[in-house]
Amino acid sequence: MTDVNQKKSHKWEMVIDLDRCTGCEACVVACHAENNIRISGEDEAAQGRAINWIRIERYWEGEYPNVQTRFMPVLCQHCDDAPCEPVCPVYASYHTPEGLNAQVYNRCVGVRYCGNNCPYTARQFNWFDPHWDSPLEEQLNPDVTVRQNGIMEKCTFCVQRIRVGKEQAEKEGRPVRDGDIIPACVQTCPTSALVFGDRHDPESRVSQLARQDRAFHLLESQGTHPAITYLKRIT
Amino acid sequence: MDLGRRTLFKLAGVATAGSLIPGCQKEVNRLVPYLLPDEQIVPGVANWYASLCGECAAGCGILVRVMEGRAKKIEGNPDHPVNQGKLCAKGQASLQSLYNPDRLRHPFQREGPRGAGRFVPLTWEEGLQRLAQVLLDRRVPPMMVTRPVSGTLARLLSEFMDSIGGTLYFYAPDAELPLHAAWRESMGCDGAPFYDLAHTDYLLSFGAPFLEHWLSPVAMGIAFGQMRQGRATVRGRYVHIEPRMSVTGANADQWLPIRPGSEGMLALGIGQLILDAHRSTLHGQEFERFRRFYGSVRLEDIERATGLSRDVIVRLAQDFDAARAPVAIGGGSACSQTNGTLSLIAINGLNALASSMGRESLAHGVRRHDPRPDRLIPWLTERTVFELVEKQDTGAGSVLLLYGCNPLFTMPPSVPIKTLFEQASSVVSFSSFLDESSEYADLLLPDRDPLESWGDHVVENPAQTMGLSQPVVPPLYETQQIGDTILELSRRLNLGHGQAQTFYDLLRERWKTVLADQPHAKADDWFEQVWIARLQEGGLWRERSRAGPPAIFAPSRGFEQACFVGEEHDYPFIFHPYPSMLLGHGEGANRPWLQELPDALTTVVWGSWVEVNPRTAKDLGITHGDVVRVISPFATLTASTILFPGIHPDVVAMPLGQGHASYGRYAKNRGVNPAELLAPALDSMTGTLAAGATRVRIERTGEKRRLVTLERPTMEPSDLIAIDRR
Amino acid sequence: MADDRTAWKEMSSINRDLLAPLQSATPAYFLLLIVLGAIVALGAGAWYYQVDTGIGQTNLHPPIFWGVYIASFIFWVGASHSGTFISGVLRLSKAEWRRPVTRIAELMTFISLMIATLFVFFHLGRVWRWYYLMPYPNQRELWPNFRSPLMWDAIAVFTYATSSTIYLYLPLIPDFALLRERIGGWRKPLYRVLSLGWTGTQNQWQVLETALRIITPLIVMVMVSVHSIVGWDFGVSLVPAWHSTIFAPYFVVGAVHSGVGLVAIGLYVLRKIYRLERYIESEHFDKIGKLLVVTTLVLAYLYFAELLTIWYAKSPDHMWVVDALLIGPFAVPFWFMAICIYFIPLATLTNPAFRRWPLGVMLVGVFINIGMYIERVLILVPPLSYPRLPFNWGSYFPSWVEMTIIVGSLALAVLLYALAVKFVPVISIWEEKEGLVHGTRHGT
Ligand SMILES: Nc1nc2c(c(=O)[nH]1)N[C@H]1C(S)=C(S)[C@@H](COP(=O)(O)OP(=O)(O)OC[C@H]3O[C@@H](n4cnc5c(=O)[nH]c(N)nc54)[C@H](O)[C@@H]3O)O[C@H]1N2
Ligand SMILES: Nc1nc2c(c(=O)[nH]1)N[C@H]1C(S)=C(S)[C@@H](COP(=O)(O)OP(=O)(O)OC[C@H]3O[C@@H](n4cnc5c(=O)[nH]c(N)nc54)[C@H](O)[C@@H]3O)O[C@H]1N2
Ligand code: SF4
Ligand code: SF4
Ligand code: SF4
Ligand code: SF4
Ligand code: SF4
Repeated sequence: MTDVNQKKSHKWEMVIDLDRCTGCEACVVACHAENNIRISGEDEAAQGRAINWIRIERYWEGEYPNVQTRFMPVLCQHCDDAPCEPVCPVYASYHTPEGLNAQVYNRCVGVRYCGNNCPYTARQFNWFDPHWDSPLEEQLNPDVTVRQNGIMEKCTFCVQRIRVGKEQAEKEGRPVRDGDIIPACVQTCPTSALVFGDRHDPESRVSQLARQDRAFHLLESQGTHPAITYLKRIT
Repeated sequence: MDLGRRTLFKLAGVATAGSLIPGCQKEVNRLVPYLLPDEQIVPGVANWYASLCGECAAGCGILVRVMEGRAKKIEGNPDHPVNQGKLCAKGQASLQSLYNPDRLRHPFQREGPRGAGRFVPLTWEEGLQRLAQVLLDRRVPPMMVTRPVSGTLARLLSEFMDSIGGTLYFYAPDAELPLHAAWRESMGCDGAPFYDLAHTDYLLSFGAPFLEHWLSPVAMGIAFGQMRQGRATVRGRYVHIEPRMSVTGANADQWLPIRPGSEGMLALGIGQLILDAHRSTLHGQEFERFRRFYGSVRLEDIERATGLSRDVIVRLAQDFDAARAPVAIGGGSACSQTNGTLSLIAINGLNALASSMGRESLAHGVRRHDPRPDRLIPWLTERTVFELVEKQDTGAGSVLLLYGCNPLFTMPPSVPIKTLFEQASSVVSFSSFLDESSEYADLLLPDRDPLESWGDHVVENPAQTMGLSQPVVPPLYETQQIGDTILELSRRLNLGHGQAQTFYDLLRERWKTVLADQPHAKADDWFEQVWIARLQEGGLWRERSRAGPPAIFAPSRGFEQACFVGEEHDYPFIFHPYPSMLLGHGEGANRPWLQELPDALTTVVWGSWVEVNPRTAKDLGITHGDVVRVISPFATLTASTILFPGIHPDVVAMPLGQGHASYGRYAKNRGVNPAELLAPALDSMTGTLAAGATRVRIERTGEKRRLVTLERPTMEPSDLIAIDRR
Repeated sequence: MADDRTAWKEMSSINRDLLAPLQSATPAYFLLLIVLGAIVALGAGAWYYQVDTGIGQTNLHPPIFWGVYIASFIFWVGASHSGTFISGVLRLSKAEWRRPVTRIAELMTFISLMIATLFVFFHLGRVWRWYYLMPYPNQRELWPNFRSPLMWDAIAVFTYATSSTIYLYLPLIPDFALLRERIGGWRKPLYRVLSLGWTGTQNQWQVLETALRIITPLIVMVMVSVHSIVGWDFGVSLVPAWHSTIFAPYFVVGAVHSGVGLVAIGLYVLRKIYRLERYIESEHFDKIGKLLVVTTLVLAYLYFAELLTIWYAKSPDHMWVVDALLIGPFAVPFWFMAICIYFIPLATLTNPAFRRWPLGVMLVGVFINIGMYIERVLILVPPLSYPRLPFNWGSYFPSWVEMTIIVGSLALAVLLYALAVKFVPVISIWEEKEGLVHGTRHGT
């Protein structure tokens, strides 16, 4: 493990440009496909239990005829000071050295304090065991664990892709390059509203965008220091 | 694009050539690859295969991640000029077509009366035998109705139908026929329309749902991102005009509600004002043509018809005129009227006007793709259906071959498509699913999933893209690609195509001729090398050739007003059915991912609803979740109400896509199909359905029904504590 | 001297009266056991069903991850304050009238804590992994996260349970010795063991007195800390209208409020069933009533202080919750709660005549406990219903599984108490006698 990556630490962050996002929700399906997110079905959805690691929040502004719509993709903000972490009695919700808020499924006992304490309602819970009508399960991604009944889950920044990207760079004996690692949602986003990268690399696209003056953080006042920077929508 | 990925699908190319050609001939149902050693299948190692998305006509290029013989994830092909690595929600969800539990797994034949939906399994031998017999026994020319296919398959089907003296019809509920018709008239060229949104500084959209399902949504999405934030100094402005705010319209800087059917008139007004503003400078008979067309309606009438004030119209005209590179596009509600094509002519004319006034022209005509250069393949419009039923004598109906479309669901019952099916002496479906139309068939010869199939698709874009699709997994079931079925059939009927054993061979033959004109090595096996290269890259595309011929505005007829079916005092609202961004016209309804994906604006999942303006709802005394009866002169539907802030008070809207009576466990008996309400009103020029030309009234039922939304979880009745957001 | 003699006569009657419950059991008693047992079985069945199929059998869903299980946990921990407060504080203050009350209250503490602990398990998503919450050596060197208020809870409740068990046990030793002599059958050997060879020597008495003098102040401190910590589960979180400094004191007072209310109920019921009017007099209900007036006023003050600060600050995300409570969707339960825990006690118990009416005081106790349970639910649900991103607002009402488990555990509490009554004297016999002696010695 004496590779370039060890020398150079990473800080994975994302930028979401609200002036580009069109609410097309391709990112949502991409996330479901990549991360083995259960199919909840109508009844579970009716109870508000449909699981989405990324959701497009839609806010109406104004009254007819002067109506404005705002789309805001919300996923786990991977807070540097994550309120979901200290409250977990078993360290199932913890912070990785690279700035990810990780969830150790097999450690989680399901007390759900983290869910209450996440100001972004990013955390989702498995109220029952998941089910796929055969052969839909053939599609499941072997790099991602299927979560069982009683476990908290949420966006992982596609940690499995981060691992692959780093291992690939390691194999080729080079540092991870900007764009090597692309989460599923970012990869598919038609308008490129989502950008992912290493904030420790000042030249990475994510670093450059995050320096724009349209930049802001969601619920900044909460002092969670999210790893996701939003860019304001113009009009 | 990152190199790591590239190396991966280099490997994929070899994989293709090596393993999958025999691979796709392999006996089916072998899904434990460890048991059949295969040098391509290393446990835990992914192969990426380049192919095409078959979910819509845009023909995006895809890369499929395959592990241990199973397709795990679909991503956009970054090298493909149409989607440049991106995909839409439908494309992402297409894996659930491949692995859908309700796929037809082998041939069937009908048992009991037609439409009863009872079938018994057949072997392919029996199935093909029956089909051959049916065609031998034909007394009148058979007809084949397919989704608009292109490339090798289109040619094969068309030639096959010729050889048995029948007709091949294309049918798609979302085919933009009025747009193509209008384009010819307004741009004076026979090319296909291409709008370069990425470079506009002022986009004026008359209801064109370009971010949902219009022409090429992903390409449009990419362009939209460019237009907004892709340029250092310019941020394109975007104004959207339509009766009901679509997801696309929701992204506009300004959204303007308008009375349905009056979009064209607004365009006339804008053109008029621009021409007046430049009366002194614009001369020549070219501008006369514009003046004659745009001057045909008085501004007062336009104000009245559109419901927009003069200032607003003037403002639009000035902004369009002032822009350096303006684009006007029309679609959706604007073209789903009886005057649809004419409206689009008026809208597209604005582009012609702008370019002839020296503005940068971003509306190009690109070369059309004709699979049969010798002849045009006709479209099955609703008008065609009426004509066919007319001249068909009920005694001997023709053989009806059905592929890739579901007209019994997507066409309104007021159009006699059902009669066409009833009159048919025999109905044969190649569909992969038992949808409403296939359920009416006598013989089911299920096609393979696109991810199990060979094929090519030609995209009408500046890069003249020819996409290649290849099987990425061994076939799951005893299905047969329609191409192979047709070849087999023509052999049994001794009709040529002899040399090509399989559709794969046919594809290679065609590509050999295409690639022959490309620069290539002189070696005898040159084709093998180039072919593998093409498979690796996912097709063939040339450098973007911009700009079609200069626009010549030559409308063949003057503007007409839209007309609506139903008396205004009985049916006070204009009904606006719109294709769901996710379920389309219903084809997406059997994908759980898409069913569970919240509608972007209402956040409804797994259901149907009616959108009513809050003011209108107040007058009618209905609130969110109330079940209402939507009554048209033709039918009645009930659905839950959503108070929708972005809809004209005189308009009631419903999403298409739900209301299947068949089509698998996820789609069946879920929601309602608004098409049932529609009158057989047609676009005067193209004869396609004017879906927005029906009037309705709504009545309260007093009942409330569960309406599942992501935004506000609906609680079970036991819940005493209701949430109300002030 | 005559007084003296009568006093010594009474000694025997004390034994007779207070041992009676342990010696006889009516058919009605067995019927009660059967009914309670049946309800407990229902609750157990519901829990089995929940564990077997999934925690989804509750009506919980994002953003409301905590519901009536946690509310019940808070309530029962609160109820446990009855014993410690009454007997602890009163022992400290050497209040003579405490003597017939302490044992009844201490039993309540003991049982309430058992029930409270159960709710932790009902709540867990993966109860079969409950031991992850225990600090035990393992090769992965994984330990619980002691930064988590839930771990503070676990520790506090454990400490409280052990200490209050000891606190219940110590004064029982002399009574066990008495029972060892007076009661035969299967219970005799048990009493022999439990009485730890108590013979009543001067030395033993001194040791016992000292032990009690040491543990009494300690248990009072533990009591205060326990519900403070339960309060901090909420206070230290980021949830709007939870994140407040007032939660700890507020929880403690609330706990005492419901605890004392519960004692009033217990006193009344046992007094009625076992004809203990001679020991539990209307004077006791008067004292309890006065206590309740105090707790009511303090609690109301804290509640007011909290609402005022939120309302005055008008920070929207907190105001969403307050509005929902006062005039919004939760207004009905909120005002019903206010009537039960504030208005009714003040309207009645401030009247001396009413306070001496046992039935009346007991009914007030019932209202207070109903009110306090609703109050626990209202602390949980409304704040969770209004997360900071309004797109995710939700609502919640318990499912039948949740309700069955709650009713089942209530039945279990009563059942345990009914059984305890047959095993220990509900009134501390030696303390009664001691009181009598004091009484005669100091001529009250
Ligand atoms: N159905 C089925 N059952 C099997 C087998 C099979 O092939 N099929 N194989 C058998 C064999 S050979 C084996 S070895 C066992 C393996 O069985 P398990 O030991 O259960 O292996 P996994 O299920 O892969 O991983 C267990 C959990 O570890 C979590 N995990 C992943 N990385 C980490 C980490 O870094 N730290 C911690 N703490 N947890 C992590 C995963 O998310 C997963 O939830 O299964 C056996 N059982
Ligand atoms: N993504 C991912 N990869 C993993 C793991 C994971 O959790 N996730 N787990 C890792 C672990 S712990 C393990 S043990 C390995 C297991 O990986 P493998 O060793 O590949 O285990 P299998 O695929 O279960 O078995 C291999 C082959 O043995 C065949 N087989 C079955 N019975 C017999 C027999 O009696 N004789 C012979 N000759 N063949 C037989 C099976 O049909 C199968 O084709 O996977 C490792 N790889
Ligand atoms: S894919 Fe991109 S544009 Fe579409 S909703 Fe997601 S973030 Fe927005
Ligand atoms: S967003 Fe929520 S879940 Fe994600 S790190 Fe922050 S607090 Fe934790
Ligand atoms: S639900 Fe799991 S992750 Fe969340 S706090 Fe409880 S144990 Fe920790
Ligand atoms: S980063 Fe990965 S896990 Fe997170 S939302 Fe995007 S796709 Fe899902
Ligand atoms: S637009 Fe979407 S559905 Fe159509 S081809 Fe492209 S990815 Fe597939």
